[in-house]
Amino acid sequence: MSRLIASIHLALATVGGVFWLADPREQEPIRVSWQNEVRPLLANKCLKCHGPDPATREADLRLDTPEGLFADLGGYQAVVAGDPEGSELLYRISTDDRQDRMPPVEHGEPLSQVEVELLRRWVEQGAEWEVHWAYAPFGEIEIPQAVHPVANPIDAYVRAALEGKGMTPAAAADPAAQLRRLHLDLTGLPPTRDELTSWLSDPSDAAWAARVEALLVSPAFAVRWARPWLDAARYADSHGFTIDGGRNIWPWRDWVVEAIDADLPFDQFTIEQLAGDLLPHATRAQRLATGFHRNTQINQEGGAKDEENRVNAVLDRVNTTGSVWLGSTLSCAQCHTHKYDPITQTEYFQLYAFFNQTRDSGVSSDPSLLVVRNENEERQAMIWEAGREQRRIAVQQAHAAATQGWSIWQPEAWASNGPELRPEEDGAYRVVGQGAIYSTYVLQGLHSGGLSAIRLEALPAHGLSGGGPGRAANGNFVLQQVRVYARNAAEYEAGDGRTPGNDENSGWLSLSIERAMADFEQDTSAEGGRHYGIAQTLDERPGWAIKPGFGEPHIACFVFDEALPEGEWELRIELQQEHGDRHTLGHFRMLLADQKVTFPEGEKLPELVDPVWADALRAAREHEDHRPRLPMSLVLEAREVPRETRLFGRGSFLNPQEEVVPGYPAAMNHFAPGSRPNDRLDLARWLMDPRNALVHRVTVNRWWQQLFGTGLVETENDFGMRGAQPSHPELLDWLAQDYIDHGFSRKHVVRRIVKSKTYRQSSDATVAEREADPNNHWLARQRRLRLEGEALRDASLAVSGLLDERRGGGPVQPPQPGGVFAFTQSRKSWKASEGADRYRRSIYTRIWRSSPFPFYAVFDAPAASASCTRRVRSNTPLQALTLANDAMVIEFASALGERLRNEDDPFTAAMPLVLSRSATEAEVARLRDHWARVAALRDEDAAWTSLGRVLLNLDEFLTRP
Amino acid sequence: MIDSFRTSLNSAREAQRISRRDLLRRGIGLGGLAFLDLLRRDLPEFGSAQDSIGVHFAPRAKRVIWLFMAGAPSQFELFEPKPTLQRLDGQVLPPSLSAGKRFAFIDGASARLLGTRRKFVQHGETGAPISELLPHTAKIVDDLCWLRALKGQEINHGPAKLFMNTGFGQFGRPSAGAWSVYGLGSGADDLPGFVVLTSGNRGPRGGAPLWGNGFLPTQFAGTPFRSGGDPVLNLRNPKGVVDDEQAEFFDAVGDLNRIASDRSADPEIEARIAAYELAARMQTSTPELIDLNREPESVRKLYGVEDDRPSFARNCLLARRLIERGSRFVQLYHTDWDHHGDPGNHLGQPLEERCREVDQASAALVIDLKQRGLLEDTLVIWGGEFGRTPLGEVRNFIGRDHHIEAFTVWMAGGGTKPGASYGITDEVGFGAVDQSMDIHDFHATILHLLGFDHTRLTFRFQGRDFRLTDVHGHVIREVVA
Repeated sequence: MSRLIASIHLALATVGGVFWLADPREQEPIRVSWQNEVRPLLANKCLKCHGPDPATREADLRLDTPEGLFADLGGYQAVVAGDPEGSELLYRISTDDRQDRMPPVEHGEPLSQVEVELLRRWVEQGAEWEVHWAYAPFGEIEIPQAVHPVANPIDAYVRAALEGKGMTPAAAADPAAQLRRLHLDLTGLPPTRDELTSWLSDPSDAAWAARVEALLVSPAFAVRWARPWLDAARYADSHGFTIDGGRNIWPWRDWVVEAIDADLPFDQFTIEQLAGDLLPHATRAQRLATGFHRNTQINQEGGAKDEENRVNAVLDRVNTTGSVWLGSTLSCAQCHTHKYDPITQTEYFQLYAFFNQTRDSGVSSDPSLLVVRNENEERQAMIWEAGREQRRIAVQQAHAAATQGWSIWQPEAWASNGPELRPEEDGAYRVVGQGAIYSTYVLQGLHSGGLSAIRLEALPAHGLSGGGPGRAANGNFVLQQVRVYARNAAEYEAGDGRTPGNDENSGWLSLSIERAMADFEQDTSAEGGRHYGIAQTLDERPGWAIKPGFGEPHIACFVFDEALPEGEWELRIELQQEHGDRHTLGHFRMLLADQKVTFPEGEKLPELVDPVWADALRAAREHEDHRPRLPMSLVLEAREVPRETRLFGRGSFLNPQEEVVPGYPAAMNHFAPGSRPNDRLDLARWLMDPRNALVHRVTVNRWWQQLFGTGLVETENDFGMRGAQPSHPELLDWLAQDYIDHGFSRKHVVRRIVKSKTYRQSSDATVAEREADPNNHWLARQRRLRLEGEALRDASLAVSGLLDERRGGGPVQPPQPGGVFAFTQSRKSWKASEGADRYRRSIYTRIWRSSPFPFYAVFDAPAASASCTRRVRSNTPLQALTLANDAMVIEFASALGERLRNEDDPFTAAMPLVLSRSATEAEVARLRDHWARVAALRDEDAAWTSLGRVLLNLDEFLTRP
Repeated sequence: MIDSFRTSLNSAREAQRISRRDLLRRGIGLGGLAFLDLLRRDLPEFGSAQDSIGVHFAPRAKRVIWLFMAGAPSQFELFEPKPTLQRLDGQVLPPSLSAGKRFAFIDGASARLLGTRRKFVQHGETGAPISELLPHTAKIVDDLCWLRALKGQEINHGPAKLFMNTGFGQFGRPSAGAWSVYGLGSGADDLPGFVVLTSGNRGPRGGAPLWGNGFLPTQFAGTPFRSGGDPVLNLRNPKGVVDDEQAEFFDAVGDLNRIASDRSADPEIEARIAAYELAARMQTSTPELIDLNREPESVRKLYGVEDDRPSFARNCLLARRLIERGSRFVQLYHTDWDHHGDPGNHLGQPLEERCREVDQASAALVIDLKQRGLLEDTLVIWGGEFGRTPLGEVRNFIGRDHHIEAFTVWMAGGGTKPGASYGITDEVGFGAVDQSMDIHDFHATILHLLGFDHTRLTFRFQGRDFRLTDVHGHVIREVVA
């Protein structure tokens, strides 16, 4: 019997969160819940093969939708409401026939008797089906009346649930503990002794409310509450990967702190970060806010592929958006339709499409925004930016005027056997990455019309040595040969992999070039060098080069013997550059002439470079050199020319499939079906639609988690089918709606929660109480929570009197032990800041992704490689070693010791200062004794430091009460 | 001022709590010893009174070193030559095998079988086949015990690693290491009983829950050493602090924490006290432990420790030093075995590099333990979270998909049968035809070697007695010597 019960327990425990069913004695014929019981059971046992993913769906049967459950399967149904005997599902899960049994033998254990019985009762009771709770709209709200009436609706919900369980809430925490909890939760700093005294003299509800208000408006609140948001945004001050160079994005971090301080409504907070650049008349601050999604990593390694890294950044943006706002793990759906949650691979790439329209690349910091501190700087920045835009337009217009009869060709496919060609918005290619010292660039794609000539523009660029256009050390290139091929697009499959070289039957016709001409030719024969004329591209001679014409544009045109007639063509242009020593093009554009173009006589035609265009280009480049000397911050910027988005087969960007357009996952979009969104701004507004209950539940749940250690939904980043059920579903919905009704105000929600009795309860519990509810699921008490590393350092700074509360600015470097950087690939220097910067709040500590500040890391600060929405709280001997011995802690201890030394009665004063409570006699005695022993072993100075050191190492100091 | 805590606790509650604390103390070693009294103990005798919940019978293994190849190496390139698979190279899987099977990425109906490109030779007296990629492992085959038809349940890395460690595919359960230390005690007074070492480009997917304590008390969680730079920081006394002062410091913190603990029933305070006691002892033990330069040149050469850069080889040597000093369970993770066929991630050069990184040191560990007489009661485990498909996954390079129907792990020492092989797979290595072993069986067998009846090593949580093997698991006696 005991064995049987054990297996029943197990079966139900694996269902997830169904605690109240765990006791088999409670089996009364109560109504079976689809939401809480049937759905999780099906999700665990059946949906892998009968779920949302068509690729793995067996027998075309789907059990997560009513259409599937009740579908006619040819004379029978999986489920017939009210008729267990007629329901195929019940037969399949309970039969002994190995052929028919589900799940199939090789897929695991059969369902237990209890599970079968559960499904039978559900069918009997009418097989009611509901939308997954997290995706459902808000229901009608009715605040429960607890036996003991309570003023705060939070308490009403919590107490009603407790009464239902026969549990009683804990008493209010001791007033001093309440105050310490409130201060640490809201500001990350303990109360001062004055604050403590004042509160203890009048621990009334009115005084509590006043304290709450004071803390909500204190500057420290935003510093404390920004930290979890930075975790979620994977914020760091470096690019990541193995090189991990420094980056400037701290102005975005300051934006977050200021926005939280001002209680920027969470809808606006979201919209500006996801799409501030797209807002009409976007302010500089709104553009700065988009740094949220520039916290993706940038790969600076030599071999890093630009497009691969750009794609990875976009994928990360989708996954982070899913985790932060939708509370869902979307990444599964990158490679295949989600096995459990109703998100198809197409829907994943519809989300991807929103984020696939920005200018940033995978290997550089661009674009960055100038950051200003005052009106004068704002004016400076605006003038410069307006000038840049003007000059960009001037270049575009001059180019258009100078190239009439030509069209820019940026085909579907491009490649090189070496560096990477990065297509730019103006139709040019920038060549990036290391790679072969010689290369052939290939452009291939469709062209409709005729073709009489091609025009190659070699363009200068910032970032190329010598200013380009070539990649050689001086800016030169040597174009050896130009080969142009065409074939009839109707007869051959475009991009079939057959090339003129590898397949005689590939259909490619070589177009013979009759005449080549260029604006300029290198001729250094007078100095003992040689002539590199454009005509040399037509034969076996060395080719065309441009020394000393570096840093300026050069143009070559090639006219064919016979023009291609009008038609649908696939073209292939090969630019062979095998001179060596990186004498290859670094920035170029290709144009095609449909109709005949007439040129003057000669090979050297300076007039090919239009002087107006050349001047405009020069002016634009010079303007870049005069950028105001202001800090910059990484931002998102929308492309003007849309990029097409294709679903990636098996999630690999090398395997693009059908095109997709932006869209929302249908299962999460009950309120705006049929909408046709366009850009990130639409997405941000959809997320923040008051009817988007999922997002608002996720948001308030995270804030609850900040104040209780665990959310009402424990799996705060999985609101999907396999996630936990909310412990208090009605409370969650009430909180979310209350938050919407109060203007999406974060401070409102925090105020609501911290004023509840539930929040102010004692954390103490008997062993029996702990064992009855180890995770405090039912909130019959509060919870002691070990402080995060950052809060612990801040609290230490505060009690030692060292804290510098200045807000904002670039990252600082508190001291860290040696031996930390020994093995990062590019060694970083960590020169500890001096003066007040050394004691800034921890949010301002520099974060190297490859080598995080060890004090925070040992206390479970996340690696900033992916979004983290909930920190682990471990307890290791390494934490003890850090607090005991780290030189930084000793510095705090010394200051704290000095502070105590100046007190009238240092040993009595110590605990109120450090722990916000009075000490017992035994404690005072032990502190005094410690001081005396160390003084005897060494000297008084050492004894005072050691006194501080002991206090900063106490469990009670590390722990929010 | 006020007194800020409740002063009255009823006596029943008090009694309950103290027994709990005693339990915790037993788990972590001696409590409350003065710092200077602590001398590093030599290899501790097994089962000393203060150390263990208690074994059920005489153990064969007293400690475990688990070499976890994160990402799942391909058994077909390393251990399992299959002539039929070679012959059917390029053909689709017979429907008799593919029906109803799951794959992470490939399409079971159209994917093609992939014969290996690697050469195999039979080695040792047992004639175990080993591919050319593992020349060092080839030399120790007669010491190894093969599990050739392990069967998993989870098809993706995170859940599968959790399952391999905790017997469950989601967070929340204690890991095998935590169970072992809970059952056996730490074995070391001055080092963590359960240490985790990582090498490779990044930590293993899944992170801390893989070595988590679940619902067991916190001090049974694995302690992860740093993978770059110094493995443990802050091991020296602060500047100017003499040993006597350091000892008094730890005593004072301990005494004051105990006063707090007496007021509150929060077991986390006890865990904190234990952590500080251990930290104090680690200060003495760890600098010597992590200084691999103390090893003779010949030993470092055996493992392939060439310089001070972090590596799997350094971690293997460190693991041996840890268990010599009493650590009970050392788990090494080496990442990047997920060879699907993408650039940088396929069965060509990337697999060769991974093999080069682990082969010599894995073999050296077994040889070294044997020479020292430690292999007898130290269980070494080598393997991933699942295996790879006999079907090829052709992306841009050649690779294989995740495979849970049958995969290979080797064990050595600790009472396993040297040279034994358990598990017979079909002719293309898709699934077991005999001697299939699931992860619960695997766990049950490990616990058996450690002296536990896996059905009786339990912990009561939420009113139920939980165990590593859930309600499953059979000891596979064929692999026990």
